[in-house]
Amino acid sequence: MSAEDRLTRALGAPAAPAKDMRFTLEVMRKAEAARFRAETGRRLLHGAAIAGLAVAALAPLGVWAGDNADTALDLALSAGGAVAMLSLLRALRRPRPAWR
Amino acid sequence: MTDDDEARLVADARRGDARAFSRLVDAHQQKVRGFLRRFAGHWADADDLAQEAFVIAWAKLGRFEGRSSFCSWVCGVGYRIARDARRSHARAGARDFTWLEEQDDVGAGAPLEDRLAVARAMAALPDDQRAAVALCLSEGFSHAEAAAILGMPLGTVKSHVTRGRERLLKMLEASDER
Repeated sequence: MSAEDRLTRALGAPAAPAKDMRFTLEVMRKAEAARFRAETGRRLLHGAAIAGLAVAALAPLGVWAGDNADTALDLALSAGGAVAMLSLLRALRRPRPAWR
Repeated sequence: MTDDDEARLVADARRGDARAFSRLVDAHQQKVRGFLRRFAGHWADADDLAQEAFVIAWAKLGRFEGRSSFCSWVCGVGYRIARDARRSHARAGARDFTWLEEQDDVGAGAPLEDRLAVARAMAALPDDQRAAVALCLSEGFSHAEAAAILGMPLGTVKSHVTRGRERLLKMLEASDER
C-alpha cells in the first residue's frame, strides 16, 4: 500500500468515540451551573444597586431626624401605630375556617 | 437530522428549551469531539474543551446567525477555546495518544502504527495547518466550511490543507525509513 493510501486511511480513521449520553448530561450540568452563576451574579449586582440607592435616599432623612429628634420620634410612633391598626383590621376581616 | 429539524431545535433552544439543546449536543458531539481530539492531541483535554464549547454555545446561542451549520459554529467555538488554551498553558508537549490504542485496527480502518505516526506528525504541524487538515481530511468538512470555522480566507485554508498533507506524507515516509 502506498504512503498516500496509508495517510488517507489514518486520517480518515474515526477519532471520536461512540455517542455518549454521559457527555451530553455533563454538558447540560455545566450549562445549568454556568447559568446559575450568571443569574446569582446579576441578582447580587441588582441588590447592591438597590441598597446603594436606599442608602443615598435615607442619608438626608437621617440628618433631618438628628436635628429634629422629637418630631422624628412622633412620626415613627404614629407610623408604627398605623401599621398595627392596619394589621388588626386585616386580621379581623380574614374569613374564619369552617370547622371553628 | 435534517436541516429543518436542526433549525427547529436551535430556535427552541434559543427560547431556553434545555431538552432541544441537549438533542443538538447529542447529534453533534462526535464531530466536535473528533475534531478537538485531532487538534488538541490530548483526548481528555479535548473532551473538556468540547464540553466547554457546547456550554459557551448554549450561553451565546443568540449570536448564532445560521450562516453555517450549528456543528460548524460549535467547532469554531471549540477551535478558539483550544487555541487560546494551548497558547496560555503551552500544552503542546503534553500529548496523549493512548486513545488511538483503544481503537481496533479493523474498526479504525488503518494499522495502529500508521495512526500513531500520523498523530505524532499532526502534533508537529502549526496550529492553523493542523486545524485545517483535521477538519477537511479527517472530519469531512468542505474547504468553505473549514474557512468559516477557522475564520480564515478560503485560499488560506486550501493552502494549509495541501501543505499540511505534504508534510504529513513526508513524516510518514520518514517514520518508515527509521
